[in-house]
Amino acid sequence: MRYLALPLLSQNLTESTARAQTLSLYLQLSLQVSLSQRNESTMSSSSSSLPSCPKKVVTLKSSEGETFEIEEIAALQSKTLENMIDENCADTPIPLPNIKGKILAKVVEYCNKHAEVGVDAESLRAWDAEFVNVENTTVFDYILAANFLEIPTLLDLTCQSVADMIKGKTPAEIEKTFNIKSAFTPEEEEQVRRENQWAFE
Amino acid sequence: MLEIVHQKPNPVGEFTRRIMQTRGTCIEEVVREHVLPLLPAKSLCRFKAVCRGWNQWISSPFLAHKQAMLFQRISGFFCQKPGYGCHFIPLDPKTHGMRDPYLTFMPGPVNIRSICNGLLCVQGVDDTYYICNPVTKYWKMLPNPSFYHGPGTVISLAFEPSMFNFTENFELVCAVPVTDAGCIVFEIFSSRSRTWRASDDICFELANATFIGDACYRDGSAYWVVDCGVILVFNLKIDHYSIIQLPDGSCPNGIVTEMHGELCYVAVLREGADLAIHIYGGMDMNSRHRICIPWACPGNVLRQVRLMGCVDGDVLLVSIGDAVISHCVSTGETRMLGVDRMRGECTMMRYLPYVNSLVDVNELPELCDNLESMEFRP
Repeated sequence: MRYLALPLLSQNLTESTARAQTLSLYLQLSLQVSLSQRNESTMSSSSSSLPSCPKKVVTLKSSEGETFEIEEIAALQSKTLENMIDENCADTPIPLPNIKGKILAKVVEYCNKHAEVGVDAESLRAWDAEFVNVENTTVFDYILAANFLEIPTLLDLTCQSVADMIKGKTPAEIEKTFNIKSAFTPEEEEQVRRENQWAFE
Repeated sequence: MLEIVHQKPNPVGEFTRRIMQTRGTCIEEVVREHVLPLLPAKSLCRFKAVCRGWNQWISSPFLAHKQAMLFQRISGFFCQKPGYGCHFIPLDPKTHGMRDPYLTFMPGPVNIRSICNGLLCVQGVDDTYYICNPVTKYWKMLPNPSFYHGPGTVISLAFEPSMFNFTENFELVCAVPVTDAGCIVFEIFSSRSRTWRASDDICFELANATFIGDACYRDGSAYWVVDCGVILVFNLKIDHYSIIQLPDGSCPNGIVTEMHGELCYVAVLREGADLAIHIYGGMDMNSRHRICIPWACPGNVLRQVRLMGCVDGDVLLVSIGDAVISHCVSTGETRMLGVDRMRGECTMMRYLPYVNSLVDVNELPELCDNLESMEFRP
């Protein structure tokens, strides 16, 4: 509330002039008050008669050419996108040839969810758990996308879920899961197993 | 007048370069870099047999350091009966086992005194202190302290793997009661200086008190429960001690642990025929939870109950008789984990929480000048 300095009313003025001056002052005061109230309501983005600032949106293009829109504030969770936005290079669609449309849609959904305000930690945790409750191949695609776009929270979430999934597996199962060729000679493999015998029990 | 010309960074060029760089990235590369450090030591040792690349990476000190930093979940408990050897209870035997759960790789029989983030501080029969990692089987001997550490001494190992410091440094804080002088002296060993020093802050208030249980180290401070109903705290950062008063009516035989991100005191009481676990939290020790365990069996069950610790910030582990039970505080889920066959009738069993970490004791600087530390290679 701005403080208006009220000019001293001179005692020489006639009564009517004085009343007119007080009235005009009152009008000025009330106008100031209503303006400041309106400004406050615009800032808190509740319904107001003044138009609110349009939310900035970034367009992303998947490897198949499909476009997805994401609010700038949600896109800032990706360090890669943040750099582009900071340097004003995000006005045209950003091509992401490494990410398929199906995955990009989910990544956008993740960023939007995590940019929401007022979500309590417990329900966000539950939402995250559901998000990674998908097939392995999908989680791997999420990891690659999070790694490329540098989204630390998504990378942590997906990597932890993969860690929990693989920690009880045998080496053979690991090779199958990640398509790794062993390249050990039988003697080498035997030696490694022997040195770490306790880990196989 | 010097004119500084700023070269405008080319973000589009950077972006394109990034696309080209990561285009060929396969899942195995990202898993190696980001997922492996999240695994417990037993799983990692098993995965050395996956392929040559993984074997080399898992055996490297870089991974060991990263894993020590990122994997800090409790894998199990070392159990020590006074006068006997120790054994290990893993929370999940397939992924959190112990290579040598009886610590036979040490030069003689030892008592486990304190555990912190995968490092163990043990004491031999001649009272010598050692630091070891039971996964890698490396150990180092500490020089002798200046004070006599009598049987009433309690210690706390303070070890936090640091992101920026490649050499692992630790401190050992000992609260030494000096009965003649009626005070408690804090003697601290630092691996950085390789020497012991006594803190200037001496505690006179707890002269004849006895310590209960084992220390809890958290966030730069060591916490010990004292039988007169307080918690003695020594803050290593400011080199001062302080005392936290426990709430009236709380049982003094509890443990200090970390739960839901804060320091908590957990005690077990008899309430009628049942058992009640009281949890107090925060610096004011406000009552946080009360868990009732109906107990149908006759006999003095309280003597059989041992609070083991809190795992993952939310799950309380309790040993009742020889049964090990887990209770998830937030969901109320209670499970029987197994049976500790070594417990028998022992009521003085100590349980020390342990993290299955690859932390490399060998990275520590030489601690003892006059004796070479022996490195036993399996």
